[in-house]
Amino acid sequence: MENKINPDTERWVEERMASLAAPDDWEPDASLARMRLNGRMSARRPTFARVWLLRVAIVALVLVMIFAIPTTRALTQQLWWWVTMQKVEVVQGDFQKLDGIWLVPQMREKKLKEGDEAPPMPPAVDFTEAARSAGFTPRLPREGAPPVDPVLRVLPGPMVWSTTLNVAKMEESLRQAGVTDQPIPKEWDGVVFSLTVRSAVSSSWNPGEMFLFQHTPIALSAPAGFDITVYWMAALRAAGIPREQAQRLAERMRATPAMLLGIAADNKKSIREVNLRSGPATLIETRGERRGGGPYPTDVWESIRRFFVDIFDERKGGGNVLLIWGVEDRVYHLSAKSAEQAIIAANSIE
Amino acid sequence: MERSNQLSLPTSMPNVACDLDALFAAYYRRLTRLLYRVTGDTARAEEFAAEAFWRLYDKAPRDATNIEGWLYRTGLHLSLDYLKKERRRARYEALTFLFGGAPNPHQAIEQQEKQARVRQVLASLKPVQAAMLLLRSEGLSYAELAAALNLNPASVGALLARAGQAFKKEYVKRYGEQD
Repeated sequence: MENKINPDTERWVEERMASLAAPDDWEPDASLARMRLNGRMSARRPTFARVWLLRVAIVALVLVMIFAIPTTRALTQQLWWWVTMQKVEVVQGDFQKLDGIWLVPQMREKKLKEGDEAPPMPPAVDFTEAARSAGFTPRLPREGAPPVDPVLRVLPGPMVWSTTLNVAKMEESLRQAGVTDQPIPKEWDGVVFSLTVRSAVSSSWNPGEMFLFQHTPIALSAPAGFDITVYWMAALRAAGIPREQAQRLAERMRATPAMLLGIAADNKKSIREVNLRSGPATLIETRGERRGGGPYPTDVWESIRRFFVDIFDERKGGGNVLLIWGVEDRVYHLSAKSAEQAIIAANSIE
Repeated sequence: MERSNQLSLPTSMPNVACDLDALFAAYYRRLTRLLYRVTGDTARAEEFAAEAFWRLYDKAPRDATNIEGWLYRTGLHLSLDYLKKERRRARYEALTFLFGGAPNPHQAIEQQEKQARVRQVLASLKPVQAAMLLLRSEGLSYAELAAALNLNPASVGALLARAGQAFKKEYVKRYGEQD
């Protein structure tokens, strides 16, 4: 075989390879990438979980203590697996009992104490800036939204929900729910289980009228070999969901990875599945008359907190309807005044 | 055990930048621009570059003598893999081109087609050959190329020649000599 390249061939190849060069005016954003890497590293280190959510802060404190114990530390060093979830399964049950024991983000009323709030995030200057900061291009509805430009806010860093499993507490919570036939593997003790959303963008139109929160698929991380079906099933049963229903749901969530979003059983909500052009979605409506009516929160931290804590707190004037659905690269939460408006808007997002 | 920003690389290695910030400052831009050649997409290039740094943090290589080369190899592996997967879509993209989309200026289309052809051919080569051509076109010297790809410096010229010939042969087979 010829070892020296023919000059003509060399030129011929070079010319074609040169056509691939990056544009001269493109400058990769190293600082943003570095920031995201930091975020990803933080996600791997649960003790750095964000402090804005009180529960997470408490869990983080516990983690710091647990990490100091060598035997527990060894467990946390197992290989991890990640699974991304585009879907959100919304279930009503006694999820408020699960705090700090089972990792189930919940929608319910909860007041944070003074000092728990994170500093407010300023709105993005424009759409391009929002896309650059978030690392993805936000999609907005072409129909159904008020005829004004939405205020965009970006949460570029990861949101992390994390907990360290405590088998004794998990068993106790099952006992309290009257469940005695749901064994919890002993080896789960001390392992860290977390849900991470890398970045998110909120868009709000006329306070109180419409709000769209979109984020990258949720990443679930747990040690290798962790049986997620057993975990979801046990969490659901601890929240009072009957065995067969819990098993069916847990298996569905394994087949199509989904995040479990709990709503307190006494919360007056109707939950139903609707079909959008992009696939099925979950529609959550407040039953009965609303008592609130104040402006919808526009601060992204407040909004995110509200989505996962008290989005339907009527006294604060939360939205009437929340539509949740996922596509390949995104999960959407759309709050609107009516189901019709939400569906029209959701179907026009491309 | 928690990990810090400091990579767990052997400290006995002289002149090895172990600090992630320093590595970012030194190599991120070049790596991203290199990966753009493969992906043709700035966002993808940044994504794969970031992934390479993540892997460096997550599973630092045992041999820390050539972090730059390790980053290039990892980034190219990720992006060439992506390119191979994208080939499957080419058929459908061609259909999309026929059925819709705003008409582009003729010259832009020609340029895009040319780039697509080069990428298709690169995706069909042996990964090491594609990596050599890409790194060479990014301006790496023979010595840098050898270091980046763990090759014998004395063989780089010959290997590069073979890579060039393989590229041309495949290209001509698919599209003809004059494109």
